[in-house]
Amino acid sequence: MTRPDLAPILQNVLDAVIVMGRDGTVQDWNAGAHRIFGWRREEAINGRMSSLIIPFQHRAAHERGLQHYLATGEGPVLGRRIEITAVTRDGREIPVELSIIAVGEGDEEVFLGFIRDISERKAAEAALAAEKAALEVEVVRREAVERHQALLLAEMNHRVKNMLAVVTGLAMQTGLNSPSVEAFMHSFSGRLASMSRSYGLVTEANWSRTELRRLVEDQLAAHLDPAEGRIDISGDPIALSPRQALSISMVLHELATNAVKHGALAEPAGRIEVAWRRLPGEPAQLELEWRETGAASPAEAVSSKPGFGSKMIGAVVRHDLKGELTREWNPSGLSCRIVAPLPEDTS
Amino acid sequence: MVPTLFSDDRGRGRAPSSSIPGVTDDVDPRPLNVMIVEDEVFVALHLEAMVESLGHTVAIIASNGQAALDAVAEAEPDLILLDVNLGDGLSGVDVAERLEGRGVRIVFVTAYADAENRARMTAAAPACRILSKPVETHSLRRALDDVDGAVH
Repeated sequence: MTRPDLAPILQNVLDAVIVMGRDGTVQDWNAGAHRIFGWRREEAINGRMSSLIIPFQHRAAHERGLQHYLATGEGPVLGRRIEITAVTRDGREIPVELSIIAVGEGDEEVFLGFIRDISERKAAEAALAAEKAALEVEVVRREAVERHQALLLAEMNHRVKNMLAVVTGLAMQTGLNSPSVEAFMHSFSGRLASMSRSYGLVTEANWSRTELRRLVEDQLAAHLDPAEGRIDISGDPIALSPRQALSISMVLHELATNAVKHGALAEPAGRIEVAWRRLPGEPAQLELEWRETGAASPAEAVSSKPGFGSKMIGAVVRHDLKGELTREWNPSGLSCRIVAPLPEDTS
Repeated sequence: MVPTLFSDDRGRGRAPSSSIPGVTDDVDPRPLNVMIVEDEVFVALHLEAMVESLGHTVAIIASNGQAALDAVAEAEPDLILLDVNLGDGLSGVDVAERLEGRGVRIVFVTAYADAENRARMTAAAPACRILSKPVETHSLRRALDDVDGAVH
């Protein structure tokens, strides 16, 4: 059996096989080299290796390395597989895997270079690395979202418990001050509905500042159609903190409920004026006045024991709003004045 | 005399009533003087009604941490029912830290009764009790009884 000659095989392998002499010129150049670098065999032979495929910036180093090997026999890149870049005939710089061996001795010594175009592999690796990086970013993002969701859930849990505590307190206080189950149900559901509306407004304002005018309009609209023209609302633009907004809504609800039961809104000709302004100072204060006119029997209101609603107004103003409340039952109806500190940035 | 939410006569104590559901008439013969620190008015009023129904006296209700600290010397409470999240300013935990060594028993009343917050409360007041909102009468009674036994 005849041993096959490697030379024609090397001509046809897929990789580039290049033979370089000790003088740095190309002595042989296979079809693979033509395919990868674009130079035909007859163009490459006798050309300087460095000019054909070595990127410009690496050419001097290549020549120095060759001279160093010839002088010392030391060739650090020989017999190893390395990844570098090479340049093609049309000027593209491509990643290649290169291994070089020295064959022969003395002047007959040549260098055999085996070169594989690894552009596709590198592109795939880069794509994979980009995908990995994107996935890592996504993992970090999702972890942050999950942490945020866990925080929100915990906060919601706290707020729900707080709200249940408030509702429990409201139910107890309303119950202790209601003469009958029917009266309790009427007062309690009215207060819950009022709280629900004011929470709606505060949430609409993203739990930031809520305009006082909106609270007043909203609470009064629940008791009287604004189109009837019996309510006069006026005041400076004043933005309230969520806590103040909820407390003032509660006060307005109680005042309106009392007006419907015993005050101006119990009479067809009765009217309510709600006016407010900012009092300058450190801190600035809110002055809100509620004036009823046309009430049928203000004297009766004066003589009767204040109901729970009235007591609640006082408690909310003092406790929640840290403010002062003055009430007068004039012959024309109830007048009520609230002065309470405003948050710093309400202008 | 310290002002109150509904009237100006707090501090006299008043006859215990059993109008709170779950509260019987076997009230404690040795009433505690209780301070309530709570920024939600209805929760404060509810606690006040429960405390008084259990036969104790509410000395004062404070709506924020600084007001509570300011009032402690005058009110001389045996015990403080202390909310943790008091809105702006000092938290209940801050208040407890500042009262350490003053001999006032602390019962935290909070919606923030998870492990992390419990650890903060216990660090601020090692002998504290912690009640989760909404508070049930029997839990409050047990907490007050424990303190009552320790105080009297």
